[in-house]
Amino acid sequence: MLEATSKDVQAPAGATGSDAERPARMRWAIVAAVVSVAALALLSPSYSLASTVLIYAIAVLGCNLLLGYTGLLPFGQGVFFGVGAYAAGLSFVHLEFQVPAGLAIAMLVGMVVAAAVGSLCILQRGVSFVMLTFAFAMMFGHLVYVFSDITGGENGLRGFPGMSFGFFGSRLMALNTSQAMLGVIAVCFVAVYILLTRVVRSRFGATLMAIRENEDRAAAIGYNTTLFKLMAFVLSGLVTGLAGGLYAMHLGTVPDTALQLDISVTILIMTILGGTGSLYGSFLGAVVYLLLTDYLSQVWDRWQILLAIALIAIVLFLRGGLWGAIEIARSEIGHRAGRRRRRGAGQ
Amino acid sequence: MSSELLLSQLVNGLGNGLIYFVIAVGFTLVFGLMNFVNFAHGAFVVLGAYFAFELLEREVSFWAALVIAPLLVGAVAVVVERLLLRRLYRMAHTYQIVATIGLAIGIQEVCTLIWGPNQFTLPAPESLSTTIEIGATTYPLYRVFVVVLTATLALGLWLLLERTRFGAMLRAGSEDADMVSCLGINIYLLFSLTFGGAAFLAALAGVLSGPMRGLSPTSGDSFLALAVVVIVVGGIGSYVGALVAALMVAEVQSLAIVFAPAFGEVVIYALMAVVLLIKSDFIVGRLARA
Amino acid sequence: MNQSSIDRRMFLRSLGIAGAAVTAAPLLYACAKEDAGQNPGAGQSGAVDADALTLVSLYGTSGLQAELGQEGLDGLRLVPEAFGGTLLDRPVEIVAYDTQEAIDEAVRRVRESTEAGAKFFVGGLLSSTALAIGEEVNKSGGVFVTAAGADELTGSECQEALFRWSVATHGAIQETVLRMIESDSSRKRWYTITPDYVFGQALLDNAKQVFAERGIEHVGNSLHGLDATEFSGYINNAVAKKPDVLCILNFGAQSTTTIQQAVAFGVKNDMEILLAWSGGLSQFRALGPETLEGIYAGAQYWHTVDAPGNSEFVDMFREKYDKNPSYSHAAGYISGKLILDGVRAAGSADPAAVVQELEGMKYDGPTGEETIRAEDHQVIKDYYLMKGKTASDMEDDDDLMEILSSGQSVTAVDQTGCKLVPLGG
Repeated sequence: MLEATSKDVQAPAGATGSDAERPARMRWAIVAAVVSVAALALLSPSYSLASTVLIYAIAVLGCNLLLGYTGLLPFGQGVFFGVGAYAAGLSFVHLEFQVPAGLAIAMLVGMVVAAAVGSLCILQRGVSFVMLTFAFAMMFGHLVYVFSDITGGENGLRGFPGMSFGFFGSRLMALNTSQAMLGVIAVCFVAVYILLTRVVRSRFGATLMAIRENEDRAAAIGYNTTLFKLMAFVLSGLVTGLAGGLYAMHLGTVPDTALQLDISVTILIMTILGGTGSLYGSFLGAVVYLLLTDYLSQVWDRWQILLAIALIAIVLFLRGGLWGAIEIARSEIGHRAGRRRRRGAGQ
Repeated sequence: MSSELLLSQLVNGLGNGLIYFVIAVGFTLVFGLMNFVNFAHGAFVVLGAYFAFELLEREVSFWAALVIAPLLVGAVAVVVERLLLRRLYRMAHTYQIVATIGLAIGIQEVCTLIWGPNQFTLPAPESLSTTIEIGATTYPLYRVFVVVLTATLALGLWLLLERTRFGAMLRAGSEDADMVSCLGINIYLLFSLTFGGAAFLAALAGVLSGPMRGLSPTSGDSFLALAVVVIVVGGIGSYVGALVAALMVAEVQSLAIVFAPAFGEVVIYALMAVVLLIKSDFIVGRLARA
Repeated sequence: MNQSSIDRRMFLRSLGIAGAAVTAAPLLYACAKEDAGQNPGAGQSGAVDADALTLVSLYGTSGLQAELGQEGLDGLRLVPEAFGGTLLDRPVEIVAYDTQEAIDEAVRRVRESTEAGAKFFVGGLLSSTALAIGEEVNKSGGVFVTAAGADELTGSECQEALFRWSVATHGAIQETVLRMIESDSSRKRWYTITPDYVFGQALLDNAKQVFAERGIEHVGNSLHGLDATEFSGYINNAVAKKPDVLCILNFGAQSTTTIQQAVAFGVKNDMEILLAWSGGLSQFRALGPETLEGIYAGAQYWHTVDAPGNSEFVDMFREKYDKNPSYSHAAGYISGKLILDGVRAAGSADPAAVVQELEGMKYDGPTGEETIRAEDHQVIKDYYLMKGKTASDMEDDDDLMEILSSGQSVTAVDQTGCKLVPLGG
């Protein structure tokens, strides 16, 4: 009566599909990503806000990989975000790297830290796993101030040179306008979205979902679940680290808040709000959370009460988040159309 | 470092540890009995302090507030449990965590709405606002009172759990809630009472902490983090574990303050991580084979 | 299908529609925003009107610094009145964005406002936010006045667009620690409690320098973390070392807790307490007269200071808000006023011209005569050493402290490490 099962996590529909279907589905994914980004750029109040939305959307994708597809509740995504941001920032400041190299460093460091932290965290499951990610989030957050000579402490990492796009010293394009930065960020988002779509529709993704459904059974079948979970972590770390690197590029500084628990919680909330049922939900979560926050915070100081209500409502009624709501609306419309057709045919 | 300093640090640790225990024991009992993770537990602590603040503003005595405020919070908790949280028991911990985080944010914002975002302290009662000499150190009488009260409370709770029927039901329910229900005990009433009791204790800790340190709407997070660390170290659902772990965590903090002050706040998380890793099947398996 | 299942489906459907509506809302908002520009008076923030002389407030009015941010904004709102509503034939307006002191929010608002034609910015409570705003405003060629604490603002991170009103760590320590040592030679042993911030370290370094110069015995230092709420351990440490003065170098909510706990432990009987960096009236009110009695504190501003620049401000403030202004109120007010004084002196709203006028400007400020130093854009002004009064000496509820001394101390120009980054670069 009271056993908690992981099946309550809203599961994405199985989606490996046949080899013939895959290119068609991929095309849809690409179209969806590009159209959404374009719509965001056109309709958002400013390019700066659109950039922030996409940066967080990438981080939310990384979180969703663990939460929606592997069934892990990670309370420490901010760690990978923050170390990615600081890694990119330090390479900009001290090594005069350009943006692509800085982002590469961010991804690399994100992967390495995710491998280290993940390998320890996955030694536990369930609530203990959550607690471990939480503990790491707190410890890393503190490191910012311990190593304030490197990170700049509470002043943030400063001294960024002008951002430019290029390789090995060839400055192809200066990134000093909101539009240019948005361009880079948008491309990264679409790339990550496509990559993760491929991943979740592959056999690797299917294995992750099997682990989410019933880890013991997956292990019994013969899968090395530990290895798969670790790989999911590493991929998540790469993606989240990239988001952090873009964050540094976009702001021109790395604030100490980039590595604090608050970011982890925010990313998690966006993931759940948007819906763990699909990757597109991650985009929705970031968009709605940030745009609503932007609007509401100017109108009501206590707008977070609405967020609290939303979270509770989602857990009670709409565990699929916004994506789940859209799916329900879609199926309702489909039912209606079907019923009308049947009624028409019956007459 | 002098022995007097060490002594006063240890006494401090004792006082803090007992407060941590009062906060954590409710959290662990709820987790043990109802398999329910309540991330709004820290918010109950702060809510207790706010209710006490309001009562004190209305000329209620500290002693009365010490009892009334926790009762009010307990009542609020029972109402919330009945209306809302009861539906979460069947769900995975993930969703319990998310929903109770929502609840915590809601409580935090409502407190900010009513009382403002600033830090506040509760005034200690006149009779306790002096200091006494313990050995060579001066110690606030109020803190001594807190130690005495919480120690008594710990003993009383132990008696409740071990020597009363209610306690027996609670312990049995922690092991097998279905069976307890089959035996004819109203399990949902038991849950409500336990949850309300946990909130009562949390709020009591909040009222007691009020005169000792500043509190603000966002303090709930740090209280929650403390409770989480304590129950992880002490074992979920264990009363004695919570007591021992709470004292240990507080003493580790006190010692860290002396020897490595910059890490004083974060050492407890390292402690929790270490305990979790040691307890993991991986390590336990290796040790068993060794 | 039973009734509850149908109800549930209806509910879910309506939620689905609600969800779609919620997604549509920001899109509608974005469209609405195009039209919103014409009515800046409406709503809290309004939008930047390129025809008006706009002061953009970036104070975070929700979140952790909410009270101070709101105070800054309230002080700023007096500025249009001070200029009679218009300057250079343009209406003076304030547009306020609640950045919650988050850097991404603040930077975004600077970029957006600049694109809409705004040039003048006020705010920055947290060091990191102020530094980021300063750099961003400088890049966009505007002017930014802040009262944040970090030395770097007029030191290694100074910008042509960035001006700072508050006294920095060096001045604060000179006017408190040094003055206390000078006025009473028996204060020979000092114990410090320092937060592990860059800012805390700066206060400590300055204090240590004074100690070295004056032959003071620095009997110990407690470095504590940023989340610390329990200072009894550090206080016990301090008491064990038997200092003459307990020098508290943390600030904000942590300093309030430290003082309350120190007083609860009876520390006042054994030594004197100095709070080097106080939050002024709002913090003193929170501590209360009993706790404050006999405690020394450094302050950036005090409402009873008799100076023309202050009386004008205090009268306006009392009339509008029916209470006495605190430090953050004054900071918000003077930040906006300085910018407009610069505009008036320059006869134009061109930021480069305004910067020229502000550099070296002497004026009647809230602490008396103040000067904006040209080399680093640091305002040279008084910092006060105050002492808590006994209840019987208080004339009203806000008369909590008496001013013992005041003075203008500032780091020598060649020691600041400041090389002003040119406007726009």
